[in-house]
Amino acid sequence: VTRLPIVLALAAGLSSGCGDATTPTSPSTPADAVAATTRLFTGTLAAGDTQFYSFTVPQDSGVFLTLASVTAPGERAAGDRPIRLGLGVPRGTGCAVATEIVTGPALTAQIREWTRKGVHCAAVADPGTLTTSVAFAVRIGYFQ
Amino acid sequence: MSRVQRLTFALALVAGAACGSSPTSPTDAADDRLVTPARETFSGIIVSGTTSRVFAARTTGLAVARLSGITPAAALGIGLGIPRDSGSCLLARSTTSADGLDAEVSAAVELGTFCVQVFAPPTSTTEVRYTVTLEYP
Repeated sequence: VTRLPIVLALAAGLSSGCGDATTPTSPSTPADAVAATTRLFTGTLAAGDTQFYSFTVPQDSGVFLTLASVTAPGERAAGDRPIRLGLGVPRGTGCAVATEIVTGPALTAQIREWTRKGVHCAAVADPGTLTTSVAFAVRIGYFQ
Repeated sequence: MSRVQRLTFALALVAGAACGSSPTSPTDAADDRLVTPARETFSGIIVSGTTSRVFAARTTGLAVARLSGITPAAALGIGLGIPRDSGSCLLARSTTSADGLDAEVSAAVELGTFCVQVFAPPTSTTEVRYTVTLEYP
């Protein structure tokens, strides 16, 4: 579920509203409609730690990273500690981050980048402020 | 106005201008379908642990979850987050009611799937009734 299919569907719906009113047609699926997929990158981040998650984008696409949750392990309440969130490509045994921010949890994407198809990685890291471990969750979205 | 709304509006204008000789403005009914928030109310009983409910936001906006009717008085938590396959809810925002008083949590959301979670202290042994009112775009 993405914005793009909605916009494409609306465009198709609006354009199909033109023309001969006596010959209604069934809604059609735009040939270039795309579907979104999401993946969840979760783990526990210790002070001074870095973690990353690799994923394959099957076509040139927008990629959306949402740091959605940062909590103390075992806690039910949401935390608000900021951590470093990045998007890049795997290099060697790590993730070469091209875009990064230090952010707290939110339910809207903090990183939105247009990427080429291929393998990319999402990374989280201690920005230098963690004194204890935190559990994190990053939602990764892209089109396929 | 969000990018989707702006683009949709522009598409509506283009489509309207392309049809016939008397273009008209987009109708209020169509606009209402885009912006009217959804509203859900549900009740339950919790002892300890958590209970979650998934909802799908159709556009960008503010999601608000209100916790009320807590009986008997207890300190329950309510939060908003993203769901995981196991059915649990990974919370981005949460708050805890003050011993039976109503509580409210809100967060900006965008098109996608989210969840609201009610949670009780893990050591609680009392059945507590509650009602959640959820609004989302």
